[in-house]
Amino acid sequence: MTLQFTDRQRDRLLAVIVAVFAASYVAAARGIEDSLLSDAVGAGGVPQGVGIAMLVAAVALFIKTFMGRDAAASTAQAQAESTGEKADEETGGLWRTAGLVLILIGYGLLLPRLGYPLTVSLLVLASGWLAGAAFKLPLWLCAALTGPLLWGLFDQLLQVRMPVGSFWGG
Amino acid sequence: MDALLHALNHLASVSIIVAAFGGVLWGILGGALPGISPSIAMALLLPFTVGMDPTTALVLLASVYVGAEYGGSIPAILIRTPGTNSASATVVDGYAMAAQGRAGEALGISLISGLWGGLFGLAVLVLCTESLAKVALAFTPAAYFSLGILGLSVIAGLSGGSLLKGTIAALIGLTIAFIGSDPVSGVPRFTFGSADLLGGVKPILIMVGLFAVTEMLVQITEPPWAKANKSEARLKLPNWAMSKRLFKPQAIGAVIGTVEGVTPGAGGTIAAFMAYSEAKRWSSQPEEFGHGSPEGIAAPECANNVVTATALVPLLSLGIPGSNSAAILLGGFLIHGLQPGPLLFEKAPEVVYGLYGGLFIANIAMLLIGMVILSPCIWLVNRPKPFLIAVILALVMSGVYAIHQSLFEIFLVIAVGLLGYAMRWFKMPVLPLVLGLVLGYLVESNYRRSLLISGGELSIFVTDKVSLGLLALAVLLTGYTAWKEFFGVKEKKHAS
Repeated sequence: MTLQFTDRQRDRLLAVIVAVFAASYVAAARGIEDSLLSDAVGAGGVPQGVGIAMLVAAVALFIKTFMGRDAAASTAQAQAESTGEKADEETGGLWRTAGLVLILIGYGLLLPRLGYPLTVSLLVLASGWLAGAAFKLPLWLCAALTGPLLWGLFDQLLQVRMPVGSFWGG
Repeated sequence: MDALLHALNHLASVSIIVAAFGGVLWGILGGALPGISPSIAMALLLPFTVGMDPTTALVLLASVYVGAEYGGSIPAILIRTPGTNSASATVVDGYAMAAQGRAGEALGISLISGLWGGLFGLAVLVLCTESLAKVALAFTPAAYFSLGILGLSVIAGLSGGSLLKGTIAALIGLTIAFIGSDPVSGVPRFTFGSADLLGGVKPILIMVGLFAVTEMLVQITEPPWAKANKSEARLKLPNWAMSKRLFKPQAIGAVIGTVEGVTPGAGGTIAAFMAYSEAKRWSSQPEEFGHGSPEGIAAPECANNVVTATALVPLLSLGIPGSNSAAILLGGFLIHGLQPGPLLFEKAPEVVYGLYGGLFIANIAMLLIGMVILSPCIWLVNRPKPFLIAVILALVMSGVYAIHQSLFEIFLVIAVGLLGYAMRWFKMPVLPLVLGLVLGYLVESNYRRSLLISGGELSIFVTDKVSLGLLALAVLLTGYTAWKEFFGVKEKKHAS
């Protein structure tokens, strides 16, 4: 099942999310304790103002979605109703996006353990495959070269120390 | 006069030419790599300048700055990843042109606009340093606050037709800017007990997440064969007709870059955003902005390259480093026993004029090196999409780690990438968020400092002449935009 939204529905959803965030933000800003060094405005003063402004903007956006005819909304609705295939494509795309997020998280988790060159090579291998490359020599070669090349660039040339990896005793 | 002749002599000096070309090349490499800021690229070379002649050392460092500010635009145009903060305004139209198969044209416009900006800034530096130094001195905290408000007044121009969503995006940017220690009392705010957030969130992390990671999250959803047509595989410099079209946005960028450059703390990022917004406002084809407008590249690129020279005005004349890069350059002066300030022009004029000569060579070097390296860069980004996505991700993630060697920042950038993905789904503009993020500290810290000075009196913002002028300009620009949008809509409705 795929959910399709018109522009107007998206704006409404956005307004609600922003309003909830703004209200929580104002509450959090009010909870900031001032130190003895603080000025009259206080550490939470300006953030509170920004949070209130955000709340007002969210309410205005919500109200706007009920005003006038939204041509874009009706067009999007018509498109949504007529293109079921596109919806399926979007669902497949969403899975690939989620897959890439998982790969990136995996990169962050493996970096201190496996070390920089190997983790970068694994990142290239996994994301290249997810993007559509076949598990054949060109992809393996690209992955095998990118890790050491970027290691040389950052660690050796630019003197930015990259992790060696606890697995290798680094 | 002797000093000027000395500067001219430097134009033919082998060591200065080598320093300028080497510095620009190093700077372009650093600027093009996300995570290596101009100041980091300069700092990496600083220890090597100890044994050098002072003029050669300073030319080397200043050339790195010139190269890095330009280099940031290359990944911004080709892979939607701003290499430096100030290249973020170039992303929108630069990447749109690249996606239309006009990468060579976009890079040519960026290169030439950067060159004109650099040379214009140099002319301002040589001719007006003394008078412009007074501008820097006139900036009180109240004036800085108003400068920030003026910066925020361009949100409408960056909102892509939805002012409310643009405003919300800018406010989200401000909320991110407030993370970390309070600028006045040092109280931690919105850090959730994390020591990693105490120092705040670096704008470059947000920009890399919003632009590069989001783009990869979107690109991965498209089939491998779906890519821009490769009509242009070579650098294409603007022809006469295009040059005439670019003159106005470049002039706008030059003026804004001059003002922002001489103001310590303002910097190239604000200049680039303001130049973009004003170029759109005064353009005869504003509807093209955001969809691949050449003017949308020319204005910000010219502005941030003007700043590479005009940022030296407060440094050379007053000894005030207005940015991280200027602070590194100050370090270069101090290493060689030179103290920037009013006496520098009397004590070591040959160094100052030698630096001017070196900056001229650096700008020419930027043009020549750009002409050599840009076509291979275009070839690289025309490789099969799956490989491109994989290598870009590896480069971006490496750059993010390189900033502070922090794993936390890798996860932060992934989270920001998801935020950018959601913003795209909601059709929210991202540039206002970046603007809010960049201006947040400037606005808040100076607002509170002003109130501390005035004892809580808000009238300080209108009694200070510079502040009043800037606020009036902000009101005028906002009013003009609102009037244009309101009556523009009415006219369009009437016409239809």
